[in-house]
Parts: sequence; structure tokens; C-alpha cells
Amino acid sequence: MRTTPDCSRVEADLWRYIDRELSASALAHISAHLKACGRCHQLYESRSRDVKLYRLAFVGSPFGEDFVARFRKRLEAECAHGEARSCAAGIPSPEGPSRRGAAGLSGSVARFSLAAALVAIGALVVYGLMFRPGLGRLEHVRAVLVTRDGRPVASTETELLPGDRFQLQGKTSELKLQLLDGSELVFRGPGDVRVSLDSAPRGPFLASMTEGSLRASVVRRQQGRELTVSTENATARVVGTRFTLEADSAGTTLAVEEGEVIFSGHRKFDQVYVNHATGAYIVAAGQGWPKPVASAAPAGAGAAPPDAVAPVSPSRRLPQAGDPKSAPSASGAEPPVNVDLPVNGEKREPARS
Amino acid sequence: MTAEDREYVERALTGEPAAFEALVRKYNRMAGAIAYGIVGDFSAADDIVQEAFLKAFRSLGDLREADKFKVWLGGIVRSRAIDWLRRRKALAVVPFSQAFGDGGEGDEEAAGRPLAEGLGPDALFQREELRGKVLDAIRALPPEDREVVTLKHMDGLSYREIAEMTGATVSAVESRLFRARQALRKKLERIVK
Repeated sequence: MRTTPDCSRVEADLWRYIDRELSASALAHISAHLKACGRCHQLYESRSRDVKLYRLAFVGSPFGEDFVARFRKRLEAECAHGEARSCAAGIPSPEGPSRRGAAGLSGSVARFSLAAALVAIGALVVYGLMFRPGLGRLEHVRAVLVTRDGRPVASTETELLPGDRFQLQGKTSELKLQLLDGSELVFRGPGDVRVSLDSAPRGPFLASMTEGSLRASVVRRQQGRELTVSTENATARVVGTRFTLEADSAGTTLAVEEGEVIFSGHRKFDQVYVNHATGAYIVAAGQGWPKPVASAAPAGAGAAPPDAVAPVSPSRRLPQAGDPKSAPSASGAEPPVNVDLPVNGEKREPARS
Repeated sequence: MTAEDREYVERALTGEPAAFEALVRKYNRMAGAIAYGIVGDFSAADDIVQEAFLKAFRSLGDLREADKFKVWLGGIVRSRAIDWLRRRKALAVVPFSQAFGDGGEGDEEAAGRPLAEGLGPDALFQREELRGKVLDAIRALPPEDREVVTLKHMDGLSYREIAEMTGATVSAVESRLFRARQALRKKLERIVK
């Protein structure tokens, strides 16, 4: 195939052509050249394949319509449980003043409203800062290896506050939290434990852990006051139970001793109800489907023997309205947990191209 | 587009939640691309973008020029993502993506995404494997190159929009993109063949 001076110009502009960064006339010129020149067309085909490949890489991103739905839920939760926080847009976090409402008002009315709003917000912020509600206390800390917000925890019996962050270094580090309602959470390292700012004494308790294990005994809580603990790849939400949650490099394992826990793997499947009656525990691995295991897990067990693992088939039906939350194992052939298949995944849209 | 943003912002400030949701719908991919471009981890990017939208929601009244919402949001996401990187370095915690190989991002399609429709298990597996390799190659790019590749191919932004988001010139964006694509091609050459 012969090259012409035009080929060099086309080659120089080819990425701009693929990215649609040229004028209409330049695009038309290159299109005409590509129809006539086999060599340049080959190059165009090859680069276009590359672009498709790069786009494919991002198809699994968590963004798109599914993100909007998750953010909506998050915002609703903020509004429902915020202590000194309004759920109206423009009401600031304690970092800055608000101009909300000023745009639609004028003159002295606007100034008065603004001043009143600032006073009210200021009062709320001061209230929030002065009376940051305690959630419970640190009952027991196996001390030297536990830090709070980067500083060593000086003593036990200190108050637990929303936003607290603990670093548990090494396997021997241990942190026991006693919540106001008597629920107990024992975290073991290594890992990072964070209590969400959304936690409230008379609201939900939300925490996350990067790795390590949690043994929890949770006093029954009302709806809307659930205790939720998230790991990097799963979430356990409980209203009252005893359970063990372990997160390590192999995934997250949940073993339930009493009651029922709603277990969600982040973006891989939706919700799995695990209860003691089924004698089941469940593993959310870093990759792949959750693996319910048909035998009771010893507390603190990290993984089941490979031959005991029964991956959930993606072909199982989606749950219908009125379905029972958990279905005890009948034959042993099916995993003894009721699995809601990935509703999130079905709603997800492909990346924009 | 900026007039549309101005309208959404003003409506959100008058207490219309759907208006802010429209902004989330419009810009979450872009925000995700910025965050992923910086941190190289979808799970972390997701958290960062959620936090950034919350921050934007609460501080919307502080936005002086409502038609600059996009750039303002981009700035919030960038600063949160950079903070995340600093924190991670300070804590020296093994990143999830390292601990779990692919960071878990590779599973969403296997979990029943619509795009998996029509593909048999073998084809699906092969495509997932390929996707994982491309993602690894993108993740291994220098951060500034990864950022432009992500903004281009995850969100489909123009050179000018990428320049606006990253603070670089349009020609710098173009040359970074060119360099990144060359590097990716080199890395993926054998796989593609």
C-alpha cells in the first residue's frame, strides 16, 4: 500500500478524528480518505479497537443510574438521622455560611431572613459541637496497639463519639465498645475501625472496618435504629443478634449465632438473610459470588474447606413481593440461605460511550 | 449546559430535591472518573464521590456562580480523592485493590449486568479476564495519564472539558492522552492479538 502526503496528515489527526475533536469539514475529509486508503483505514480500525477496549475496562464502574439511587438513599438517611443538620440543599456543614434562600428574596426581607437563618444555624452548630452525642464508651482496650484518630488511646472508660476512628495494629489489638443500649462490639485487629458521623444515640449505629474481626452482641433495636457494620466488600445490618464478622484479604465472613443478620456484598449481590436456624455462614469474597456454606461456622472461622463451598447460582429467581425473608434448607442440596439476586446490577447502565 | 446547571442549582436551593438529583445524575460519572483517575480503585472512588456530592449538597449556598457547578464539584472530588491518597499513605493500610487483586471491580458484570446478556459463560469469563487486564494496565499508568484516560474513556469528556477539570491546557491533555494510549497499546499488544 502506497502512502501519500495526505496519509501523514490523516495519521497525525487520527486520534482527534476518533475523539471527534475536529471541525465538521476536517472530519469529512478524513472520512473520505479512510474510505479510499486501505493503510490508513487499517490504522483507524486498530485504534478504534483500542478505544473499545479502554471503554470496556470502565463498564464495571459503580457510577451511573445505580449510583444516583444509592446516593438518594444516603441523602434520605442523612435527612432522617441528622442531628443538627438540615436536609435542605445549601444548609452548610459547620465549615461555612449559607446563602440559601437569598437568591429568591430581596432587600430587607432577604437580609432579615439571612440573619435569622445564620443565627439559627449558628445555634445549631454550637449545640452540635457542644453536645456531640455520646454513643457509648470504650469499655476495654488492649491498649498499646490501639490509636484513636492517630493518637494512642490514653485510658479506657472514655466516651465513644460519632466520627471516632480507631487504628488496631496487629492481631493482638482489641477494642471493646459498649453502646448506650448495652450492645457490645469487640473488634480485633489488624484494621481500621470507623464510627460514622451518622450514628446517633437514639438512631442507627454505623461503623466500618477495613480488616480484622468483630464479635457483636446486639440488643434488639427498633427499625431505623439498626446497627450496621461494613467491610470493604460487604455490609451486615442487624436489629438484634449475636454474630461474628471477619474481614481479611480473602473476603468477609459472617457467622450468626443468634437472630438474623442482613448481609450485603457491595455491588456484587444485594441482600442475604442469614440466621442461626439455618446453621449457615456466608463468605463475600473479594471477587465472585457470595458463598453460603451449609455447615455452622466456628466463631471466628475465616474460611470453609473448599469442598464445603456452594456458590450461589446466578440463575436463581429474583425474590418476589411476599416471599419469606429466609428459607430454611429443605434438602441440603440448595444453600440454606435466601439470596436476593443482584437487583442493583440489573439496574446498572453501561458506561456512556 | 451551564444555564441548565444554574437552573438546577437555583431550584435545589429553593428546596427541590429532584433538581439536585438531576445534578447527581448528570455528573456522577464525571466525578467518578476524576476520583478513579486519582485513586485507581472503584470502591474508594465510589465513597469519595458520595462524600463529595454530600458536601456539595450542604454547601450549595456557598457556590457563587451557579453555572460553575461542574468545575466546583470537580474540585471537591479532586481534593477528597487526594486526601484519601494521603490518608492511605499515612495509615500504610494495604489498599483494597492490592489485598483483593482486582479490588472487586471485576464482579459487577458477573453479578448479572445487562451487558452480559447473550454471552455464554466462556465468553463472559474471557471478557472479564480481558477487562481485568485492561483495568490493570490503566491502573499502572502514572496518575496524571490515568486521570485523562479515565475522564476520556469512562465519561467521554472532550479535551477541553478534561482540561477544565484537571487545570491543564488542551494541548497538554492531548499529549497526555496520546502518551497514555501508546503505553496502554504497548502493554496490551499481546493480549489484543
